Amino acid sequence: MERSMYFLDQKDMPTHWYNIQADLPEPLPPVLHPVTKKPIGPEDLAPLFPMELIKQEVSTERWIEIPEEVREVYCTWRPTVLHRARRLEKALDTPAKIFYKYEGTNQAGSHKPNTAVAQAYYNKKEGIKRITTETGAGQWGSALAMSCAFFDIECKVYMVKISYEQKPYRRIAMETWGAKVVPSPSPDTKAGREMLEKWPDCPGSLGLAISEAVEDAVSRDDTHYSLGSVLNHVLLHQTIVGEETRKQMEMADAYPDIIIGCIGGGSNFAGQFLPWIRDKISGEKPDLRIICVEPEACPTMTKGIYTYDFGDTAGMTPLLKMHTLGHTFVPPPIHAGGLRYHGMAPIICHLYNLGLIEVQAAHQTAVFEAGVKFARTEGIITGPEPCHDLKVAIDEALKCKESGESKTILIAHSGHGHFDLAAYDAYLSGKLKDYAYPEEEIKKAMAEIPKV
Amino acid sequence: MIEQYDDKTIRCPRVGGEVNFRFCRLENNMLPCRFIVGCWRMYLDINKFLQDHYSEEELNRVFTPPKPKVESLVDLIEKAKKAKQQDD
Repeated sequence: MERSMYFLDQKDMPTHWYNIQADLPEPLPPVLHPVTKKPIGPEDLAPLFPMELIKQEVSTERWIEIPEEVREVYCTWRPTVLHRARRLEKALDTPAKIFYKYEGTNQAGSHKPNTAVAQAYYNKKEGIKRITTETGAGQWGSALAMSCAFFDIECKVYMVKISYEQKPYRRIAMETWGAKVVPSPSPDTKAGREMLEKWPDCPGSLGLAISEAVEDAVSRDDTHYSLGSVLNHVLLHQTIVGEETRKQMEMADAYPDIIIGCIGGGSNFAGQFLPWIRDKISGEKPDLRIICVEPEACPTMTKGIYTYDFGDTAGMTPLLKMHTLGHTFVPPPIHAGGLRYHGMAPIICHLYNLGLIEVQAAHQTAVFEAGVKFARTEGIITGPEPCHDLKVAIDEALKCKESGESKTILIAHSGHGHFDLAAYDAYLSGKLKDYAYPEEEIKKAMAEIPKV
Repeated sequence: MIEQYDDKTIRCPRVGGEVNFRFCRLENNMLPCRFIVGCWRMYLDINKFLQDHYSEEELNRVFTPPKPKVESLVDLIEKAKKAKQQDD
């Protein structure tokens, strides 16, 4: 029988996170304040985050040790398995070797606990008793609630009210882990009270939930706030995924020609590819291809440009160098909610600008078609976001079929889609529509980006 | 009238569930969600709806994109500090 799973022993689990900032050919551009035009400093973020995380945000140390206490918690589900998708390969009749690292097997169902656990630990170490956060659909709230339980920290989750009412099972899961979950807007904060006064039946929004969680954290000395995407330290914690995969690929006597993953905030795919890209930067593997996949409907990187962009029309908000479609861009709807960011992690934008990674866009019906093919061959019902990876991986495997090449393809699979079955239902019943943002509208949006 | 589409429903990828149009037109502090054009343009004349019911100033506020994460957090910290000072 041919081997399809590669297990890493827990004693061989990586002991350090990898920090790409040590190996960047050029450092990350600074985050600028709009008035002073000077870089924002760590003290600006101190009311929300423990100093250890703020240090990691700007660190240029190549390896950062994973604390023993964090590794002990990781060991409740890590290392995750590296799979060889032999049944998919057979269905495609391709000579390509397809591997996927699956992060959907932990208690909360996605890659998010990799950083939630670390953030809970550092807060605990700094004497913090409570952590607040916001959640929309509930994935991040679940990951943090579980992590706080592991470190005996009180967790308060401001859950967008409409989700709170529509997704009772997510709420119950968070409460089972010990979190206090309140519908946002809540009477617990000034921001929530003001909204409830104006609109008692307000169903909430993510923006309001974030405001409530931050206000709560700032108003108490024993409380911090936690964020599950975009920031450098979040990407750092996710590199446990890629470091494990390197060891497992060695077990398979393989090295990827192509690594594929979806990008939204960027933390999932960065966790897989950052540990590999150092081989490309060093010149050891110059031909390694790293393909980020984004929705054709929201082409932040495939059709965006790299520039400073004002965050508001008055130009008073801070400036950040990132890929953008300009501040008038309004993306159309897609089912992969996590991919709908105006911009994404600055590290990913920087690597793209340096020509070290490439980006492709995929239409959502083709994305779900790939997800269904994967479900019917490998069995996993994939979340809408990682279905993007599958689409491009299948395309690359079919190119191998045409050329006769036996390339090795590695997929960063971030989790299952058990809470997104309605999206599959829409696809299977023919209700999903493809929509590409018109070139003319993109040009119009780009024209409004300020020249700096 | 502004309620004309309120009963129409769509799946909101931001909150991960089904919402009605009323939610979308009020989601952003009583103004429309900044994604409303993209989400509804295939189902109704959303641009006409917005022009009919909102001022240019309101639409400018609606389509101001989210700030980059670090900066928006710094802004929220300052707002929360001010709120706390007022309470004290």
